[in-house]
Amino acid sequence: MRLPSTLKKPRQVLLMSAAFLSAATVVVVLSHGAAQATSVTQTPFVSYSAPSGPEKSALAIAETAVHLARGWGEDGEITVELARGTMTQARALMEGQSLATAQAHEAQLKSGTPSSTFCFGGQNASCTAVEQQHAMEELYAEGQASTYLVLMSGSDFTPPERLPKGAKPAISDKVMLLIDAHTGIPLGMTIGAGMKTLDLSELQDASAFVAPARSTTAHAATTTPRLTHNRGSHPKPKFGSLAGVLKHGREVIVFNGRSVFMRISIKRQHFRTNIHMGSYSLVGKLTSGRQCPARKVTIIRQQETFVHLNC
Amino acid sequence: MSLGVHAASADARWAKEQCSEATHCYGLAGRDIESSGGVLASIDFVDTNAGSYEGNTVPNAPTGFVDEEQWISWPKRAGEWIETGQANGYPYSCCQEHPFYAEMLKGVYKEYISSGTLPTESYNHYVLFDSEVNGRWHVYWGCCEVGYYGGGWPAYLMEQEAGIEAATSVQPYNWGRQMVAASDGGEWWPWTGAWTSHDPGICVAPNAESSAAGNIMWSTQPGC
Repeated sequence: MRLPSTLKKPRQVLLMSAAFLSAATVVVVLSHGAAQATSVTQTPFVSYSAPSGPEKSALAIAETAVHLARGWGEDGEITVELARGTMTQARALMEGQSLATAQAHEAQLKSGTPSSTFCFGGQNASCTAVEQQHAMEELYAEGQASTYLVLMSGSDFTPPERLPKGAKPAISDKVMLLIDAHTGIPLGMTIGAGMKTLDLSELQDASAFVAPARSTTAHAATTTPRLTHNRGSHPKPKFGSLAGVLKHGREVIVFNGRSVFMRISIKRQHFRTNIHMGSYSLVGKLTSGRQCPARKVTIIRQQETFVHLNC
Repeated sequence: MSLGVHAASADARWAKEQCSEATHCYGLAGRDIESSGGVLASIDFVDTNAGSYEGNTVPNAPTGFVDEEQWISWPKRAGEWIETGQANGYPYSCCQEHPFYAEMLKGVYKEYISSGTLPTESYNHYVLFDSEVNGRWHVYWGCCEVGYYGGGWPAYLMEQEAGIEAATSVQPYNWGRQMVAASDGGEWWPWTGAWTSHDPGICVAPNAESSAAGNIMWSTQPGC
């Protein structure tokens, strides 16, 4: 085929690049004029390696998120609410699905039993049991990575977005991020005026921070005077702090009515978290598996409530 | 870790000042199949070359990202789409390809990018498929489903686009090629008829390995 003159140089460039780079491995070839693939082998699947090293703290992740937002041009005060879960769980919530859906998906991947839609093969690609098993193992491993779901509220977030030519990006005063708890890398994002409300209490260790304007340093929301600052239509953050002691304890389960509102991990017999103001029941769970009797607490905005769970 | 300094470096440009992190540049093939009723699956094989060029590692997307991917859309729903492919650069560092998928629906943009990688020098397989014909679009990387977008989308896609999207503040180094197809879940079909386009700084040519409609190669080599 004779190339138009305007394409001659690009073609030469591309062919030259192919020459100095190693030859491509053609996995499936769609032949010109014939609909079918002429050869079929296993297609590559995602290769995942779990990150090593310690998890970052909620504060460190909040500051990572704020640092990202500063890079996107958001200079104002930023409120950061976040909670931690598995990547599968955090991703499901970010995408508007339920935690139960995420847990069912995790169980399915762990079982190695593919769903009816798991393989796309058609007549032109095999989808072997080995391929599917490998894919489920990789997806399960990646999905178990500890991940923070982060909601930032500010005035004008303009993050990088992957767009078709001519499309306008979504911008908003709120943005959700999925951030890897080990690496601090953002794995996912949701942004836009029609974003659904996020219930972080379904995950673990929900907390809130505020970064003053132009600062990349965040403070716990309860101790920051700017917390009460009202920005246009934004609701005032209404968080208090819940702290306490539980000897021989594993976690504290916080109930809102009959529903589990959040779970707080025990570290060196102590626990502490930022939590939305309101009335809750606390049940300490001991390392033996036994549960303490429920204790009622009331969280007041910008105040810390301290509880001894002696049981 | 790149922090995607989007707005702060938006002034830095390349390709005769026409490409930047804020103004993305493209090399594309596409087609409108609304008149034929659309299809249920869009298939894209993406092969990114690896190596070095004039001392620079290839692929390389300094400060921003370079994606090689496909988009599906509907002419009657301007500004909405679903996409999947592989990304080099933000939010990761240089030189590896991370698969991703994203959608823009009702003004809300969602994306997920895997911390896992797919190989360079290999045709990696990306599919968007409405297997249940109900507007739930399943996303496949390689053999298998990695996610889905459902609720509010039509069944049967009407537009397919595929190619390279460069969103960097300086000239990236990226060479690659694609093969595209369509399906209703059984047989796969090559495209019949396609348009191609490219911005300054992105070269596009027919894929020398398979020159069916929509199969193109691209390069961001200076001089395009």
